[in-house]
Amino acid sequence: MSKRRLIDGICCIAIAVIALLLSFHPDVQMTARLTSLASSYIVIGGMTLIRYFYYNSPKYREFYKEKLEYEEIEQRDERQIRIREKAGWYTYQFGLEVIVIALIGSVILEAFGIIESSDTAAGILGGFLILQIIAELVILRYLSKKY
Amino acid sequence: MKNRVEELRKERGISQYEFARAIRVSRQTVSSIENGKYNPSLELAFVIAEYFGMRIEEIFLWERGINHE
Repeated sequence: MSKRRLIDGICCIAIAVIALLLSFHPDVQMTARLTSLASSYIVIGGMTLIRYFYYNSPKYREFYKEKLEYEEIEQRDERQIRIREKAGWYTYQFGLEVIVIALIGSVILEAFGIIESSDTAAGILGGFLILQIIAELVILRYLSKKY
Repeated sequence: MKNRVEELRKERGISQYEFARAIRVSRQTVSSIENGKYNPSLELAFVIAEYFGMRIEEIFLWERGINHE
């Protein structure tokens, strides 16, 4: 495991200690938030350091190398890439349909008097829908030219 | 696409995992290729052919499909 992980872990612990010390200060008001920030960073920093020393021990160093290699293969595996691309396409289509349904839904709710005005929601959703469609056209055109 | 990948792999006595590592793909990809659920890219097909020391057409059995009539 790279030394960067060790530095990350130490930084997290340092942030946690600073947050904790600040929370004890009499003039500081956000005691609860600082304490929860400190506890989160202690956990993250602690886990990072444990993993660093665990995977750098002679016993598990080889195992970690294999694990990294396996992750790299999984990341570059062509079938996985194709599946991710297909999933992205389906998710995009689903997102478009959800936006359209939400748009129509907000207008219907306004017509029935359930909500006062659908202008803001319709404006935001409509704008987002148009942006998505334009982005799709631009990206498709770019990829067509590139490949 | 039908193929002889499983047959050739078993002839050489190697597991799916070992074969996958050798050609740098995941074990699921090897399984999908052997079941005919997934057709490898041209590059991967060449890698597989090189691994077995055979030609692509000796491993992958192409039959003209509806889309290519």
